[in-house]
Amino acid sequence: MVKPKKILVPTDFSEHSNRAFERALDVAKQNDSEVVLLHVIDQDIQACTVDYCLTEDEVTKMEKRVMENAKNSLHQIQTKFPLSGEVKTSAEVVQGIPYEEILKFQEQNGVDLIVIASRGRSAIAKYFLGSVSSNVLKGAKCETLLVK
Amino acid sequence: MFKPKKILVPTDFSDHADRALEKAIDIAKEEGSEIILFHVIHEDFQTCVVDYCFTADEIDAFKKRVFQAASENMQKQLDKFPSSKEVKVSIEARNGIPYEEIIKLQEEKGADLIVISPHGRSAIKAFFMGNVASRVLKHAKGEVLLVK
Repeated sequence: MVKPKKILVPTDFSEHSNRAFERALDVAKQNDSEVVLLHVIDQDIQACTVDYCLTEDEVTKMEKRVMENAKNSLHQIQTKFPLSGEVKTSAEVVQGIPYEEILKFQEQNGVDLIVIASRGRSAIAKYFLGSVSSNVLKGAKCETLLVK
Repeated sequence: MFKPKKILVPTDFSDHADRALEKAIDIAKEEGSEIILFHVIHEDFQTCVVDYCFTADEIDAFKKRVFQAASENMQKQLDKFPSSKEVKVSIEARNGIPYEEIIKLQEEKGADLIVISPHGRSAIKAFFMGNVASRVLKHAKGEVLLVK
């Protein structure tokens, strides 16, 4: 595999993942690949606090809102870059544990290259490899390009 | 596919390193990049044992032999891939801690891509990434392509 057909870019909407996406667009343009942006919603909405529970309706509503927000943010990123128009892109939102969902998505959707940033929103130190990236790098069944 | 100018391929002469090298050759052929095949001799050249010390001359001669062997092994590894003849390849060997030397050489030579396979000789199980690869991923200043 020299030319990837389907490139997966996991995003947490951070600047770092934007860089990975931009890089993926670059690679995709050269190789005529398509790019899938994937966001994983990693919080389970907690229905109950110590002395109050949200109704099921409220929870469903919140989940819907979270999902919609994620989709909007994805759409913004998708169209943000100059190359966006020249490459076939799509966006997906799923809920779960980020690295697990990323790996699952890769296998189920015939992704042959993952482009991922070394850090996302939560990593602090300059040269640190974020835990999501690190788990993706460990578990991926395909080639992975780590963007600094 | 990534348009790198200089690709660094660390090798420990394992099958995994073969795969990384093969991938790097593929990319280099396509993009006109040059390859640096690099082996780190992870060896402390200890001059003294309990009751005997080698002379500086003896140590030098020994070091020379080890470096010579490393170069020969790299040449042999390259010979496994006839297409390496179509690419500009140089070989390098250094003495030290593998990941440190890899990062150092990357900076020194201005390599803009490191191609590495996660499991070197010492990785125990397929799932665990070799120490060297994971440290390189953490500390590299440029992009890293992880080949499975």
